[in-house]
Amino acid sequence: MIPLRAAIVLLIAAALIIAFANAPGTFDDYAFIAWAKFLLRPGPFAGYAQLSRVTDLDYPPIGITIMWATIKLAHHFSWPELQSFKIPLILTSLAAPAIAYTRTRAPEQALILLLIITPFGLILGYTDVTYLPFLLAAFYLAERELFWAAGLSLALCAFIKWQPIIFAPVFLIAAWRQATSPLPFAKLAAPTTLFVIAILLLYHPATVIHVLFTATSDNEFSAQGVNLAWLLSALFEYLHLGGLTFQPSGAITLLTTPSPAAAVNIAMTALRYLFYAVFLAHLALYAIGPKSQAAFLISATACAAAQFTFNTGVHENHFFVTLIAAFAAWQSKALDNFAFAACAAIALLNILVFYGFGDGFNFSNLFKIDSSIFLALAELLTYALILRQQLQTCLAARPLGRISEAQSATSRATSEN
Amino acid sequence: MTKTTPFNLAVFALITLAITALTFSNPGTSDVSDFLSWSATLLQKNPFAGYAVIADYPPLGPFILWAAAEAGRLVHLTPLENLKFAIALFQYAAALIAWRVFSPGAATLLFSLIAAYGSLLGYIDCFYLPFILLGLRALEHNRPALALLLFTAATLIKWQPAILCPLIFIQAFALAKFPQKFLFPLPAAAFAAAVIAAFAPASVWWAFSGAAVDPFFSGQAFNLDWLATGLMKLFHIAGQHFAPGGTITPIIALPPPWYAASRTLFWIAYLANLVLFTLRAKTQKRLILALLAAESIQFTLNTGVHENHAFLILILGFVALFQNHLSKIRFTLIAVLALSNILLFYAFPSANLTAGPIGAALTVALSAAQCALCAATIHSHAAA
Repeated sequence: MIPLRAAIVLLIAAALIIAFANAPGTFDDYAFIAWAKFLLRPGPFAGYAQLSRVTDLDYPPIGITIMWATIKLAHHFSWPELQSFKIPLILTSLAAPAIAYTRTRAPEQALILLLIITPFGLILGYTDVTYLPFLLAAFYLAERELFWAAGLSLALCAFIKWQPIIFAPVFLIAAWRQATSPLPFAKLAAPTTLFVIAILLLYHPATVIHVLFTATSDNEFSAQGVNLAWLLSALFEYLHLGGLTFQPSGAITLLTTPSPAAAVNIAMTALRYLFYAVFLAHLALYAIGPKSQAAFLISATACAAAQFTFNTGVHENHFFVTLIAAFAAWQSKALDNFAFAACAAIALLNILVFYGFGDGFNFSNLFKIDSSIFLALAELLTYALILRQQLQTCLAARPLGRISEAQSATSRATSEN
Repeated sequence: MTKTTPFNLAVFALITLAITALTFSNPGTSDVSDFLSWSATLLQKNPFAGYAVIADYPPLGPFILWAAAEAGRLVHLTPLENLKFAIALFQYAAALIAWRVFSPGAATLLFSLIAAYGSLLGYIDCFYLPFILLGLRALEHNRPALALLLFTAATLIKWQPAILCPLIFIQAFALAKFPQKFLFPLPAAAFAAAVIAAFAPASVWWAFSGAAVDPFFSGQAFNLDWLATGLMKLFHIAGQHFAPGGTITPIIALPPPWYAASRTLFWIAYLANLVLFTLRAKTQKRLILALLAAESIQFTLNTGVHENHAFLILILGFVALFQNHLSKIRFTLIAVLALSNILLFYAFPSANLTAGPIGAALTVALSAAQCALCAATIHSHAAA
């Protein structure tokens, strides 16, 4: 029997679905529908390669296949395409809170997750929600040290959208720390490896690798992700470097490379290297820190936050992976309320600042200062909050560890004496 | 509880600034044009003579609008910017009180919730919010005279906190020691008398009596009367019909028995809540739950209720949550229902979410949920 409080969450979910099934979403949704329609004739496997040749396809194969299946269903039953496109988003928006609920039996956490993901999935139609149940499952399985299943779940996420791949190194380190030697580690990694090989073979390895390469070689210096690159864009435009300037409304322009301003091209490379350095530092912190659920979850959150903060080619919905890792960390009390609230605010405001609730906000400013600048600064500080919590979690135990080692050595010596 | 650090303060400041900036130019609801025209009238005359022309809200609300417009004139802001700036200031004041009393997380949550009302849609309920929060704090610290004074000030800004005043008075009376027991209302009474005298008693009376006889049977509030409105339109009772497309629209005028039935139900529930609170030992928990129940009863059962009137339920729910008198799931439900009232009507104009039979069903379902939540709140108070 469903507990009363869980039933209330379900009813609210139903109300949200009814309310937003017709929400128009962003222009991305119509591109996805066009791709899915392209696949109708050749089918998802052969069609994926064909689509990658005629478009700048940068989405992984399972995500595209899900879109194909929904449009196929829509055509078969003569359903409207936009509403059909939302079917997987609706299903996963329901499944994710259900999975979150099974972990802590706290209906308010499930409800908060539902409310946070609604603007992404149901209202604006971002497909990130499609991988969400599998990503949560991956975190929860990893917490229970079922790394063979966690790896499979994470690989499935990455083949739906590339972003969750950012967590792969953290999962690998966690699995290695459990296995401690190559053979047990190979056993843990085998199911995931076989799954990845199967997908590559199914969709043609060269095509999948080409699409992954397209996704990672984005030439946008600042997309609509409010991060360090966004702040630098504002600075370059303020300084009129290489003729760059704000839009007539005063809004910040999205910069791409190669740019007439050499500073943009240099900053693009510098930021990439900065991202790699910071990302590796987070992994190193996790590797030297205690083997605990808290360290695992806060490190995963920090890696995703570093990707959003320092990398280039980051878009407005890409904070979603950080938000989900932060949610899992908050559930297990590895992240405090304030840091999670800040993550949720950044994630939601980043999409609202550009799209509103689907109606779009006009360029918003406070006395001619673009609102996205405040948001980008807040994002940098939120990253710093997460970094501080990772440092506390991963390093605070070390001196204590040494003390306890020293104490146990003393007690051993005493007993020997 | 999250500690206060410079980091937290900076994150809070930047997130709230981003919210303020994001919504600063938003034109808000039709209420905003009323506020702007009031500001212009008050600037033209003066806040006291100008109030006699308006006399729709209690006097201190328009007085704050005048002060904001006067200050804005000095720094060359547009009228809308004046209003939004004043709203932002009061929101920050309320959030900083929440920061001091509860935690940085509570302050961020409070600012985000009330920004939907104030910064985004231009409602001025946040003008009285700092007084409510400080008043509750004063009661916690056994300062009945100050608490009553603050609640009186809140009531003279907008009339909604008046619903809470009898409960506040009873609690303050119970807290006051012997010589103070008869003296504690004096500062509040003197303040109210001074304000009423300054703004002309007839105008103030007109504003309060106007609120009490609001002609709306059902405004855009998801409550029992909205539920009744849906049924009346479905079964064509009292000549009511759905708007074209099957949309439920508010009912502005009905034969008097309909109002009497609704108001009687409200008064029975409200007085029962008051009596229940009066007869039992006074604790902070019982006070907060009684206040929450009173405001829920007003919103759910009374006539003349509008979409932004759930604001106080949200605030009292917030206080109850952070004082550990309310579960997280109950507060989340309160927040969802309160925000759905304003967001469904105004945040998604092109989606037109309340239109058609689906929109009608959605609003009726939310109204039923509000009735259930009100019953649960009354039960929580009774069981406390």
